[in-house]
Amino acid sequence: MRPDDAFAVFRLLDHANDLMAHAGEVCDWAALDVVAAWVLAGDVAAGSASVPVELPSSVEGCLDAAVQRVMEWDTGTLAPSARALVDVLLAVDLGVGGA
Amino acid sequence: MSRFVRAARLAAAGLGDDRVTLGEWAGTILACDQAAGGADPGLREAVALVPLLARPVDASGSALVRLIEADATVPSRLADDESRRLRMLGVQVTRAAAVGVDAAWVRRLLGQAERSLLEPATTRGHIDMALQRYVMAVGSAADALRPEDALVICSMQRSLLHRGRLLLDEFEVVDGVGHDRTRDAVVASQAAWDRAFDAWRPVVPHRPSTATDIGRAIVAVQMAAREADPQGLLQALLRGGLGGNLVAASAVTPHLVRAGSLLVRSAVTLAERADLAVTLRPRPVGPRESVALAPVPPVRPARNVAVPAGDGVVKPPAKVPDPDAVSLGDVAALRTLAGQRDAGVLAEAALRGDPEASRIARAASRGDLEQLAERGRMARAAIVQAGSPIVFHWSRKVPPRAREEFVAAGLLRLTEIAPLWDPDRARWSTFAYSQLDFLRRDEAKRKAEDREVVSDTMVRQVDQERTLAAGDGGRGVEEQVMRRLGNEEAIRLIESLPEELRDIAQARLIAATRPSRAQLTASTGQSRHVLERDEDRATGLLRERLGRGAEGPQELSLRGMALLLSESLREVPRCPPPASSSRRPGGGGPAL
Repeated sequence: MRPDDAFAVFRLLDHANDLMAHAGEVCDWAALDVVAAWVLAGDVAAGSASVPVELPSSVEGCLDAAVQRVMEWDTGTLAPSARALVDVLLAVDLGVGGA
Repeated sequence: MSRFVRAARLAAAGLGDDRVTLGEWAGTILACDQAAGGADPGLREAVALVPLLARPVDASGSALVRLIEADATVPSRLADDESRRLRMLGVQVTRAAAVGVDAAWVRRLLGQAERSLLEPATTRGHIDMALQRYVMAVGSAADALRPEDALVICSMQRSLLHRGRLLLDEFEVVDGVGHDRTRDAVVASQAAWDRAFDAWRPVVPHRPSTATDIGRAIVAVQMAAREADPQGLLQALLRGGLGGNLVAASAVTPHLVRAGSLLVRSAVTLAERADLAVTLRPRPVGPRESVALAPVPPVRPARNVAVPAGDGVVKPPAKVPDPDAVSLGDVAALRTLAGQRDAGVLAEAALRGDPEASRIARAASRGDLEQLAERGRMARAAIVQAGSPIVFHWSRKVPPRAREEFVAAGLLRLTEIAPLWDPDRARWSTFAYSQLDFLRRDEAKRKAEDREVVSDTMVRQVDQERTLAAGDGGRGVEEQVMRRLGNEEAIRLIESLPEELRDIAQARLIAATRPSRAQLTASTGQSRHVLERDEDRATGLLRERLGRGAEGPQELSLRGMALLLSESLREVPRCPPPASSSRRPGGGGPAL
């Protein structure tokens, strides 16, 4: 089952990935986690309708907003890729050496 | 006859006169993989590189493919030796295909294929396997890459290189081309991927798409990287060329522009340097300060221009020339670099508070000065880098065993003379060429002098031996005792050499008339190179032992003298020669 706000999560991570390209050291060790989460979010949201999403101006803001949304998901009903997305997102640590 | 034997023979013949085209290579690798039922990891990894290199020819265009296919009928399951034969066949064809290939990226990819056939990465640890599967997914998708995939690859490579760079701040590469050059290659490649990302981003819509093999492989890498210890991760990254960086760069760059692509060239450089980086150790000091990359404005494809796959290859807008991109013959670029180098020196002086430099640079802000200083340092590095082929040129004139040492000394000399080069007086190539020639001559002279020192010491000691053998009662007790002990030391030294070195040591270092190498070559039947090597080795050993024994003989002589004096001996002791000297030929010749 696909969560309703899967597109919003994808868009937030898509934006985080874009910001990361110019964020220099902000993401440090988490860059690989963000890319993996973005890929998974795309898979989860594939085929869903585009909706307007408010996009924060920082990588951290985008990740926080995405985490808030996936925390509401019922993991018992999720597809494997969505569950993997939740796991990856919850484990992202923007601190140095976090990943 | 066993299966694939005829094909293996034909492939071996390809290493000789017959040239194997890339198309035939591709067809052969595919045929081998099919014959192995897709079960051989080495062949699987090599097959993943096929779409990057060539369109495979089929059985109608290749006798080799025809032979493999003819044998690949039943049973489909291969015996161990058949599987091995197919892999070796693949190695031979890969080597034959690499003959005469000029493009560096093609040679590197063929080298990667060969390595996979010899030792598949998918048989190693968890992180190696995950990275290799990602590389295979990228390579396999290369001929039909979607823009979404290209963007994903750009993001992945940026993050892998970023991780690699951070790990290189924690661990030091102690071999290969050195830590800093390895790290610089990572930074340069990362910057190229940044530009590729900026070029791809505008053409890919912000729409979600189903994960492909590439996406799944990325998630697997992320999970494996999370579990891996940092050193193991860095080791795996370096082993795999930073996540198959060259494969990824080739995949997102159209075939026709790969040779001139900065992205591909930086990936080739990184692959070459990462290849040699084998040994890591924790860095003794804190993490190196990150290099602040100059902000690069996003590069967008021109309006109304169709963007072909991989147009992410954009000329760097940065004003600092890429250290790996300036060649020795690029006079104008080197002159520009010299200007930047000088400006950097001035900026550094101004930053240090030098009054004259501060007066000249008073219009520049501190930020400008720091930028100029950094650019100057990079320019200096680029000048050194451009001159490095001269070091390798001269190194070929140095005996093979001393070559490595010469290259290190030569590169060091280049870094010393790069700040001194004046482009108005000579070209960099001329200046560096002559300076390195001086270095080579100095090294040769120093080596010859070392040899003379050893030789003279030995000859002196043997002369003393002759004098003693002839009887020299006119000398004092102390002197004679000391001389005898010295002679015995000389004999001991010569005899301590490995047997195969004694003749050359005698002939070249001690004999009264020293024969030339040509005469020795004729008399011994050994090559000049072998004689030279043995002479170097003998000289080195003698020098080492003479140095080490400096304390010993002196101590012995004094002790012996003290003993003699305490016994109040008035006459020279006519001791029989020691056992080790009993082989001395008549006439006082050296005991050799």
